[in-house]
Amino acid sequence: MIRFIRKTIDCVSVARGAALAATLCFGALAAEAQANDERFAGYEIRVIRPRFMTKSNRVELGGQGVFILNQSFIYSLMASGLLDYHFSETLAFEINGAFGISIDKQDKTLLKRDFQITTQILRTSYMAAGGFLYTPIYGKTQLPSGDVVYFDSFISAEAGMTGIAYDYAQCVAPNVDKPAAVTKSYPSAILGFGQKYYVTEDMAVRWDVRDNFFVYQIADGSCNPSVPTGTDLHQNVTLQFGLSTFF
Amino acid sequence: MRQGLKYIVSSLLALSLGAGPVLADYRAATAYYARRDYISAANAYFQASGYPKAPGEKERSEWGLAQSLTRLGFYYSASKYYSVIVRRGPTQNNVYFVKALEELGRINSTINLGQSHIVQLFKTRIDPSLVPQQAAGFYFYYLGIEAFNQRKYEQAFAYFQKVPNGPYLIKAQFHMGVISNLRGAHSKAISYFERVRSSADRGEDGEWIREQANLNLARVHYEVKRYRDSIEYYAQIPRNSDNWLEALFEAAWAFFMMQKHNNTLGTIHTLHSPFFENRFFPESYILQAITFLRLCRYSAVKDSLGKFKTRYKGVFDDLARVIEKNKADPKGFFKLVYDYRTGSLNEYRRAWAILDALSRTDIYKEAGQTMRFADNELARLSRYSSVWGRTGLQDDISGFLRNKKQAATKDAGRRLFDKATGYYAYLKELSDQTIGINTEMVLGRVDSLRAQLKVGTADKKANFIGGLQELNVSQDLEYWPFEGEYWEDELGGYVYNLESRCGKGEDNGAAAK
Repeated sequence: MIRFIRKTIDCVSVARGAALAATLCFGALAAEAQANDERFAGYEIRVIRPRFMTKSNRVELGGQGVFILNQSFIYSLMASGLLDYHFSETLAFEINGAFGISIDKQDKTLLKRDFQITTQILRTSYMAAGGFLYTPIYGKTQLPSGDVVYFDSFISAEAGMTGIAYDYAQCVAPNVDKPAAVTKSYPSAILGFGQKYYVTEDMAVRWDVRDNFFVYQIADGSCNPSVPTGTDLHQNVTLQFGLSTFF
Repeated sequence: MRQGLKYIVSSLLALSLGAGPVLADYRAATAYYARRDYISAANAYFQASGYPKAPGEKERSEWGLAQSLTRLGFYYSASKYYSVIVRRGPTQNNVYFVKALEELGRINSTINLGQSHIVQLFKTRIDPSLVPQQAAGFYFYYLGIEAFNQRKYEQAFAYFQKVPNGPYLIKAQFHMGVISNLRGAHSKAISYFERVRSSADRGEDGEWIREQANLNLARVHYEVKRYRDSIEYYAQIPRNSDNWLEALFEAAWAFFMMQKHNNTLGTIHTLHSPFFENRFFPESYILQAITFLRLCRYSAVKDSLGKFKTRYKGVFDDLARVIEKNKADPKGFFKLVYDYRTGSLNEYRRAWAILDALSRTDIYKEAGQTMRFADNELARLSRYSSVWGRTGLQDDISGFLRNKKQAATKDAGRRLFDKATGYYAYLKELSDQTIGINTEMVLGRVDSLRAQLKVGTADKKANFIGGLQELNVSQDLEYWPFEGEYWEDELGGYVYNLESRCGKGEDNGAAAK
């Protein structure tokens, strides 16, 4: 019976496969050693072949469109670039940066026009971070067209800076001096997950979902920034989609 | 009286102008040709060749007609008239002999004229010294082929040696490789096939001959027991090739001879996948059975033999019916294969594996190509019926094309039928082998049976992964366990994971009883 379902193997299998190959190089094990490998003890038949996509010691360069999902009054659209170095099939170091613009949603415009309510908003102008990617899953799936596409799934943990642009648009009271627009930077931490679908051995379509959280001074966005009013935690949940090439 | 004369003169003038091509002569044809009006030129040349008005005009008209048809892209049709010129032989009056031979060579290197056409062509023996250099490839190659088909290998080799540089050289070298191998000169054969491999172009024809060279290199290495090299060449056959499964099957034998039993079984696993249920590899069950025998897995041996019987009993019966029904009808047999290939056959379902195998042969493909080209020209011919219909040119060409189709169908049908009867005998022989293996096992003569399998020495250094590839230590590998689902991309990559049970007493010969 032929069934077309998604099939995955875990990274441990791949790592062990590579280790076994290295051992065989020095003739320490016979070919039968493969058959005795405990991972396959339960399988009478398996496919063994060169890995389609190898990332070890390769550089990944990519570009993505970034959309911040959890904002009530604005759309933030950013363009990002990323540079990864893959130490192995599972571990990579990445640096990335994103810059973009914010566009007011209709809700915000209506509030201002009809109710004269102006909102204080954290507009993200840039994000820059560096950290590690861990890829525990390498798999393949079959497209409706019949083509098989290889993918891997990763999680990321990074640290960096997030720039928030304050325009003080809410400071419209006659007795208040409106501060000059400014961008302030905050240390931030990022956790995320994503997948890469390998179009070729050198190119992948990549998507990420990331939670970028940071602590900011509430006063920084108020009409009187010099009066401390405490801190708050802010999160930007981003959806990122783009292409990566491997060198 | 004067009125009457005026009427006659004007009538003749009108007739000559209105029905130009009907009364056209060689000069008119040449004028049309010069104006690149090849449709009218062909018509006029045809007429002039039928009613020559001067010595040599017939031959010149035939040449002009063939040239006009060539310019219009009617290559098969043109070949008829070029062939007429060539068959006349290299006489002093036949001034277009050399050029016609060249043109036929050119046409044949783009669209295959067909073996029977060329055999007819060269029935006229020509002094080799009179064959022009430009046509020598075409001429000597086909003489070589004719001798090769008649198993006159020495003569064939001599002809192939005379093929000069050009489109026929590579094919000649290929055949020289085959002949060298038949003579037992394996190194020479390898050298010829290597030359073919390296000089074949990147086009469709080049790919075909390179693949054939790879297959033959693999077979020569197998023959001289260099199994590792043999597998390396089998691995060069691409997955999308009709020969891929054949290469896998033959490589499975090479693995068996190297005692790489898990690779043998893995390779056979691909052949037995549902993707290839209509492919014909009955021997793979025998190989599977004897591989299990080598591993002392006797119940698996019985299982393989049982599967052979289940799968091929019906094939055998339906094949017998097909052979019986078509033994006097080669055209009908060709149509049967054609209907299978085009998906319009609803009977003999159990023999489809055989029909599939036949439809993948070069015999079928060549005939199919001839029919396609002939049909194409016949369809285009109808566009010119208003011009060519009046002079009989259309009937002449269409008659030739129909005859060509019929001859191709009949010839291919006969050769395919011979192949089918060969498959029938092959199946019968394999069936006898399964009975033999079973009997020996039941009688407990497992050791003697195993001893009959004269495998080579196990090559401890050679380690293979799936896909006929040697383990390359610098490569990262991926492993996919087989859990009952067949993935198309995994085909060809399977490796079994079985240990030998010999001497372990678990599944011994007694258990097989």
